[in-house]
Amino acid sequence: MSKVSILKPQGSYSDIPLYSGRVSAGFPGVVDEHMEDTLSLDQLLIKQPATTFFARVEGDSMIEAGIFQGDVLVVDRSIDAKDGDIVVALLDNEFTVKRLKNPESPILQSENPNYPNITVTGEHELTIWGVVTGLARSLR
Amino acid sequence: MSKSTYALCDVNSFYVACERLFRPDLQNKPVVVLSNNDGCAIAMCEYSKSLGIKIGTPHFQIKTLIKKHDIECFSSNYGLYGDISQRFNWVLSQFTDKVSPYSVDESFLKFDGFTDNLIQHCKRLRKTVDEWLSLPICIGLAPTKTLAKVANYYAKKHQGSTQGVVDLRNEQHREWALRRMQVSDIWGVGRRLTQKLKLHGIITAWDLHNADYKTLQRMFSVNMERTILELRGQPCLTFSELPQPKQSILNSRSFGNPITEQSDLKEALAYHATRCCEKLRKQSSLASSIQLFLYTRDGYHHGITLPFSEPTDDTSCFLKAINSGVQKIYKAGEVYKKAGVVLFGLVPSSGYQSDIFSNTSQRPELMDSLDTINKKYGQDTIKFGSLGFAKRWAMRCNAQSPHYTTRWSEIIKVS
Repeated sequence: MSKVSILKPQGSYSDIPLYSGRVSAGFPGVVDEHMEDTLSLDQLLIKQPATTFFARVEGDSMIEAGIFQGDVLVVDRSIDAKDGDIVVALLDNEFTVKRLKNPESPILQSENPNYPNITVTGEHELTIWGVVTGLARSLR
Repeated sequence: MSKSTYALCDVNSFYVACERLFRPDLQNKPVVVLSNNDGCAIAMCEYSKSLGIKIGTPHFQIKTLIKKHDIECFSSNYGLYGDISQRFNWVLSQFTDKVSPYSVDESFLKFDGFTDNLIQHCKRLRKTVDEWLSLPICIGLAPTKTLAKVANYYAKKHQGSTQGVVDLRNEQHREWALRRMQVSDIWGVGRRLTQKLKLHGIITAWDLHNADYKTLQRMFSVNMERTILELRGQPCLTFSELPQPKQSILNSRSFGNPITEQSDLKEALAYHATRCCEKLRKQSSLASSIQLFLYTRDGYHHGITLPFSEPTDDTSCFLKAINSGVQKIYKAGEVYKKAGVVLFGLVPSSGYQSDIFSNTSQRPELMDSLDTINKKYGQDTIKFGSLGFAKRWAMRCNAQSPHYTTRWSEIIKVS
């Protein structure tokens, strides 16, 4: 059985060295030789850095999807939006984050009962700007 | 084995495209980007061009047009443009492993072993760059870099009919293209060379293509020979090589109206320095010193040369040098008719890379250069611009877009 223990961060704050060696009492010294790559949140949250942008959430229309005011959304522009994806869209010249339903004749769904869903009709101008692939939040 | 093909990809109105990426509402609205200090236009969309706004047109001259046509104006946001430029090159690298950036919005690609499907490949590339980064690009394909530039010229000129991709691998197509192109539009042929070539009856690119390269090499340089051979389809420039790095870079212009104010002179010189700097970076050089010169209406010439402690290509270094230099040579009461900037002591930037990267801030370097200057020209030759000046500088980019990609506090907001 192997364990992973995380030691103190080195280098940048987001780079945390990962030790994959077996850690057990009475057996020190082995771990250092098994030091692998460092962990970064970028690596975890961002698949394609060149096409990924960040957006700040304002408002509470997506709280039931776990997206709150002030959260940072990770938005990838290289992904084709599918039914059910949370997207950053440009609706009538305003940026908005909503769940995309039925991309063929799109509905922008809020995740908060206080907000109505928006059925996109010919009167609206809708562009899907990017697909939300991740979320970052500071707790203090 | 099939030959290599070069492609030149460049973004149309790059700065404008960067602004529109985060302001999609401006997709069909005219946009102009202003220089440092908002002095003049440095980039504009096609529509603004059609209104007569050119690179270098002073801001005050187009204020009426801006109002009349509801043109959206931005102060330049180099942080943003640099970031998008890197992303652009990454997307290009998904289509070939050989990408050589040439300037902020232009890159050469090299394709080995592609044949018939290369045009389709490039059309896909163009579509991808548009979808992922919302950047409109044109692509020129040819067996040499100089010809790829020619192909790109046509792709840009006839975007509608060519769908932004022009292929000049075929010799008949090449002849057609070169016959209709002025020699001045050839990569590496500047204004001075154009004049000289004209004296020898070389007017079109096709004339140059047919010229005796040995004779021209003797009259001009080995670079001329290379240009001719490249026009004939023989690659002479290696993939990352650029034609003839210049020994010095000059930018100057006479004023439409004579200038008497120091602040106006600074603005004009800042503009020239910015352009010089772009040229400098384009040829991957660093400058060791900068010279400013002013011509008065009475025909007097005032100049000052400011050395840098280390060669640099950082615009902000040049702008700071200008602030100080102008104060030294400006005389109140004089009427100035022309100003310009020359960058001297150009060295290839490759040799200095480690120094640049180890330097976390340019400030120590600036301090050093100030010290160097003061040592050479006497104490207080150069001191920091007054605070009022700095404020004025800051105030003049109040139309700058947010740093969407480089500052947390300025990322886009979604509700």
